[in-house]
Amino acid sequence: MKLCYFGGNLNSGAGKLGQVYLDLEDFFLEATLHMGEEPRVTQCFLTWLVKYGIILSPSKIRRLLKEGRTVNHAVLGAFIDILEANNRQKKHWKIIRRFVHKASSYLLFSQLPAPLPSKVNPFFRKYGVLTYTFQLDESKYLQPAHATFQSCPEIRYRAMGMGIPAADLRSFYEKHPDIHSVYEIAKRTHHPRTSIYLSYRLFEDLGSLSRVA
Amino acid sequence: MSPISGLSEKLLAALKDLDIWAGQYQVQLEIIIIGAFALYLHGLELRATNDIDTLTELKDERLLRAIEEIAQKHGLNENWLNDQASGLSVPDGFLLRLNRVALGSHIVALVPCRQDLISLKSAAFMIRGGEDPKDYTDLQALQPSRNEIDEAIRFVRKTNTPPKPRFYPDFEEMIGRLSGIAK
Repeated sequence: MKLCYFGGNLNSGAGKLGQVYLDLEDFFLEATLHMGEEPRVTQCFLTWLVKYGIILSPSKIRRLLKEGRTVNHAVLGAFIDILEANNRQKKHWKIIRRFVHKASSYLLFSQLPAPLPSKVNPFFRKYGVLTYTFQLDESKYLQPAHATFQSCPEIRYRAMGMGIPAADLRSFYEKHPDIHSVYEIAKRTHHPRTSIYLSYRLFEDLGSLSRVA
Repeated sequence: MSPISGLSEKLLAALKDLDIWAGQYQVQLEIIIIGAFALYLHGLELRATNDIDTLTELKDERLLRAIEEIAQKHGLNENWLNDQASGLSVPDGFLLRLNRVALGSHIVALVPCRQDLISLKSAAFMIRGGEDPKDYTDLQALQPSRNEIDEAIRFVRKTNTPPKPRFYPDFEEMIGRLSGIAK
């Protein structure tokens, strides 16, 4: 399960997911489609979003959405509101707003009773999605940050404060040291080729790229 | 097959390490298991739990240190084995109905019988079900009969009825939801 690989603390485990590069923004958008399946997973993801949302790239998410990525547009709206409510860089998320659409009212968990009227999640309700408020608990639903940084380069390099293309290049290269095609790396990390090329050249000039692998 | 072989690799490895630790210190651990892990020991699929809840108070300093060290070793949270639920109200005769399941050579899980598990899950649902539906899904997985749910409701009414309705205005609504789970 990708959520476990990215630091979620659930029994399912990450399995062998860590062997290939996994894209954080891809994961974020994919998550909009799976919020109504299992309450613990939803609770875990929302806790993850509050903690790690700050390392996500709004512009990369926008790029993926422009490419026509399949998402739940109402749930996306709730995610953006949660990010804005818990993120110091509130204005960054404005660029995603045009991809958000309100749904005609529906239950997120169709297999469960509706949440009590006094306890409907306000972030989701705004977009027509009725669900529970959930108790977010980092110590329960997330692995310790040091363990996530150790096992997940996609998060580690971003958490180190690197620019997004550089961080993704580093984590990609750590997983796939044999791939040197800038075109291939750009395609799989969803960055413009120029951004990857510039980071690649910089690391190559400094002689630091090979130290990753 | 071991009763714990389907656990996540980390939790499984942590339990094995705790068993080794208990062996080294010649300690026989007997812990009352509740929560999702108890459901798992009842043979239900453990889809997404992340810790082991025990009613047994964990107060031995050496044990607490071992739990912490094992957590660090496996990248788990320090509460991977926790007694946050100790002190919880339990049904009458609860201790007499516990089943013993070996989780290694030095750890024995004391697992509530099915009816007690349903009663405890129902109580948890009444406490936090308005905000968090996971206890409801656990109860659905248990597929309780009408008699089992009625017994659970008796327990919930005895232990959770608010002294004044205004302290828990949705109490009867929640009881109704609980009742609706019965097969």
